[in-house]
Amino acid sequence: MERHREITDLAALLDGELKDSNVEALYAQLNDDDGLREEFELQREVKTALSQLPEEPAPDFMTTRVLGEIATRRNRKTGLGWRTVAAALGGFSFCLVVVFGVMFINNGGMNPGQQPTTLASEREFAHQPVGTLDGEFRSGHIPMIPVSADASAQDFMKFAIDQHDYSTRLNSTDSLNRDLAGVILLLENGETIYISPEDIE
Amino acid sequence: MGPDPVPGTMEMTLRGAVLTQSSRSAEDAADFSEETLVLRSADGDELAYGKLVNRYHTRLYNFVRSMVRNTELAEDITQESFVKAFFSLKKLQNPSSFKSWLFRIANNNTLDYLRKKKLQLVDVDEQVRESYVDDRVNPADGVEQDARVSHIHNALSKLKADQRAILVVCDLQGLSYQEIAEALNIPFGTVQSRIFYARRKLREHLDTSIIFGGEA
Repeated sequence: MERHREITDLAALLDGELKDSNVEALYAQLNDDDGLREEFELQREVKTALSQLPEEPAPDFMTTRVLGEIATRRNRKTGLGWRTVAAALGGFSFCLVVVFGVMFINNGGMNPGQQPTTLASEREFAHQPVGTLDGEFRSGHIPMIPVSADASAQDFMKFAIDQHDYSTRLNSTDSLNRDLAGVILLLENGETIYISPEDIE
Repeated sequence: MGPDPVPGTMEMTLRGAVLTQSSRSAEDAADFSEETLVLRSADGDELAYGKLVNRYHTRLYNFVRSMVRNTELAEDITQESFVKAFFSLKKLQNPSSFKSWLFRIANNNTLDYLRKKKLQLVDVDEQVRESYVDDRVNPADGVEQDARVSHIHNALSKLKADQRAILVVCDLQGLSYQEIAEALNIPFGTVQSRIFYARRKLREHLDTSIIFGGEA
């Protein structure tokens, strides 16, 4: 048995951790070796000294504190779960808005299927027919304005002037809007025509 | 075991065992086996875990307190160790090693805390040593036992953290070498030599006239 092993075995002997097969050999060494015995005494003194330290009881509230903290963190974890779901829903909603926004922008600011608004002045409707309103006023709420298939821009302007005080929907798809910025006619085929206040006047 | 050539050897071993037993609550121990409590706790049974906390809170608290030498800090670290242990119980593969596993968490928590705070153990000790002396020992009272306790704590605080930890779990908490190896995450073969050299180092800082009243 080498010296290093011998002296560290003293700790194990003191702690009752030395293998039985080594105990007697070490006792024999202790009897014959004053230095080893002195080392053993020092080890024993320290262990004795430490054993004098009183064990201070943990605070009475420790268990309550621990269980309370566990409950709090469990609730927090549950809360985090809901927040995660809420955040996911929020994110999904945001994505939807972005997707539809992109579609809207790509569509020239129109609803799907709606055609871009045309400036009345661009249609040169002083000379060209812009379409038919035949059948677009069947609701009966709005006085029928006879517009032929070759209705001119003037016909639309007259229609706009006559109707600007009404907010009644023409039918499920068409409507008339007028505000200070002008009038937008929404035709059944989805085409829109913008008539500025100057045009109306 | 062979003849005892040095008086007191057996007595010391037995004393260590008695210390270990006395720190347990007989009331708690009678209710369920530890493994049952650990398994129930792992399933989220807080009542079962409460019994485990009752069983170990004093030991863990004393271990941490011996390391940080500050009552409030020791309470916080002990609490955090128990809480962490609860939420990690499913990772504990062997319920019978709960005790050493718990000490391991507490030891890591203690060291982590000190590292995070970037405090040197010595600095902490210097602060708490004064508060400890102020709180616990009034030299004017001449209370011999308190002076002895204070002296041992002061000597302990001069050791490195790993030396202090191993002496506390061995000589104060009564863990076996196997449990110490698990608790401090060191090889079993290292435990024996580390304890030996830690005791030798502590002995350098102990004044036997204070410890043994001039008997030694």
